[in-house]
Amino acid sequence: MALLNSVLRLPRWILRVLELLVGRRIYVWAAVPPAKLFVGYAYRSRGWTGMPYRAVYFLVGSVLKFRERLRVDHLNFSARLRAPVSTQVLGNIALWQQAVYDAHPSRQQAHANLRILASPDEAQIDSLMSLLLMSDVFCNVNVFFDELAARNARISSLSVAEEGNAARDEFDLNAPHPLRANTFRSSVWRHIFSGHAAFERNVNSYLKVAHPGAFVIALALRQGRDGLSDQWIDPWEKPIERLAREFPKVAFVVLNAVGPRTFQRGLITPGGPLSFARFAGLTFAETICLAQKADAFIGQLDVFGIAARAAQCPGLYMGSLDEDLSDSANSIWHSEVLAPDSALAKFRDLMANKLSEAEDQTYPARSSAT
Amino acid sequence: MIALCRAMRQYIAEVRGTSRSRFTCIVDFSYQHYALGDALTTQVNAACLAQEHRCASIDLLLLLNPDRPAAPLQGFITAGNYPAHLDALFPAFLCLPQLGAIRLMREPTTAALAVSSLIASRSPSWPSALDHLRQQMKYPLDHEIINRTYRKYGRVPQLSAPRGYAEWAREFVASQWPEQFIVCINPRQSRLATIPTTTYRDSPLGEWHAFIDTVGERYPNVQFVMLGGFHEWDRALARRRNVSIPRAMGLTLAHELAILRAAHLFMGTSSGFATMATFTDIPYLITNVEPLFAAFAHIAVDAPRFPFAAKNQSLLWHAEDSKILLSHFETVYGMRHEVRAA
Repeated sequence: MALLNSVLRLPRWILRVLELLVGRRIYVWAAVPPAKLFVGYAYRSRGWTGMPYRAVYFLVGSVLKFRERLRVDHLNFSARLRAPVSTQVLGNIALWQQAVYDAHPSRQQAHANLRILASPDEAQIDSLMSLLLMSDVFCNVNVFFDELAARNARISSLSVAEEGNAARDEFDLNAPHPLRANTFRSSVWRHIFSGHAAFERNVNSYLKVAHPGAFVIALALRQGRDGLSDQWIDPWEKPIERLAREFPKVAFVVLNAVGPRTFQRGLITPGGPLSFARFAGLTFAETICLAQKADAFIGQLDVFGIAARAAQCPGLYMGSLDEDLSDSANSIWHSEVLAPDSALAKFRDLMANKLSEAEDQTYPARSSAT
Repeated sequence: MIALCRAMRQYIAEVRGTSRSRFTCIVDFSYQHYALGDALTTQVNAACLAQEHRCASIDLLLLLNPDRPAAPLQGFITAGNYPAHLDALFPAFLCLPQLGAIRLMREPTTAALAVSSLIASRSPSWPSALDHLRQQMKYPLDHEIINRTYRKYGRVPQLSAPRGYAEWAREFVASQWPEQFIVCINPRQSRLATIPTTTYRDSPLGEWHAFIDTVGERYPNVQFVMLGGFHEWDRALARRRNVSIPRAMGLTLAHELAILRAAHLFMGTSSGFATMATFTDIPYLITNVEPLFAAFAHIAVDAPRFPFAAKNQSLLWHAEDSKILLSHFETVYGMRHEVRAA
């Protein structure tokens, strides 16, 4: 069967090679049809049989990559990072990718080099990697915890032209990076947060199962140094209950992680207006996805806010900005940071029409057994 | 022509210029598995070999070809879903104290240059260049290198909490469960997984519940922490006051491995978390170890522990029951309280 499939694919492969030769299709070297055929054979034949093919492939591949190192500039992009890796820092990673993409939109592939400074033992890079795995802006991702590692890896992480400029052009992920009017007009956002469909499935299932027919409002809270949001939940409880009494179909979903005390306090009552996405097993990357898929968003302009804003999610985005990025046509409002009851009062006023529409829609009412 | 010669000379000089004082661990997902236990054992192997080669730092290369993101045995991992699988596993690759760099290479030519450089400069690596070219890895990973290191040096390199989480775990445990005896548990429930496998090795939940309840009555200062994927914990556990489930709060594998590292005891089926416990100094009871694993661990079936294990780190070669669990728990709990009293 596999042989038959290979034979049936042969005409298409021949066509691709002809298109490559006449210049009608452009490929990166690793994706050139003869290379893919060669790689395919090298990977399929395991053990000693495939070894000569893999050896040849490594040699040719390394020469091609080295050739790229000698000729290319603006392929590898560097950033520096120190602990703690807060949600603001994670938001800056999204902005870094946007800056890279907008500066070189025709670049087919880009690679990332991250230097961890100061106390490398304290930087938590797993969330950082989650964000980069959601994205298809960067192909390779190198994280260096010490200078010697970075220097040792330069042959495959920097081009010759970039070696001299890496430090000068390094993006500081801990520094504040202002948002501008054109920040969210870039076409790159669908590559940054939705580059891979891998994280959408569970979010889609969660929204369908946990909140059928509801108007889902993603709520991003502040996080402490421990990455948890317990101390910021209580002030939201009463305002949320008030809003839910007026609009029974609203469902607030907290995107952040919390500690065991909150979990065991039984904050969630079945069918209540407040729930926690992480309680349903959604990962950090999936909560980013949820921020984009929700019907509305309330929270600060950290990584969750930037993700929601990039998806043009209606709602209230809080944070100090140099310019007002509100887009009233799409029910998007920016304001300074507000206390929960003020934020929800403002959200209610701004979103009254949308909330009323949601109440009038003929979906089945949310079951109290949910 | 001159330029070409110059480029060739530069190429040869640079590929041979990789430092030999750094050890490189290659994880190529086209033939290695997305599995917690294998990821951790791989790193311990690398740490052992780095010690033999007198390398102070270890660089980890994660090679992933998006066209072939997984080994044939894990065909369910495709180009569309590999980011989620790698995201779930990634914190496991941050557990080496000697980690100097971690590099995800999804461009095949970059991987080719990096590996060629290792070969040309004869830098130490694991798997060796030859094994990497053959793209073969025997599973389950055996303990030959680990046991050899133990015989030579009297100890085995230990895994630490994932980078950035050691201090977090200490503070978290101290603030959430002050003065509590923390027991991390991982009773295997493969039948609840998306792809159930070898379900005959699943833990008897009734026995675990009885054990947890008995401990809850007799030792109110004990907190159980249920580790594992979100699908793995039985719903009845969530109602027990003396059980916490990190994944249900939004914590991740990184947090779990760190809490495990800071715990007082681990009890669970032979699994990835059991592997983490194996390569630390915390007391553990690993249950239902498969007899066929004895050959890979280079120990006899029914051996009470690994050669490099401490006295309070035990293996059980059959399914557990509440009596066995309670007995081991009380032994370790008693020992700890004697030490504290002393």
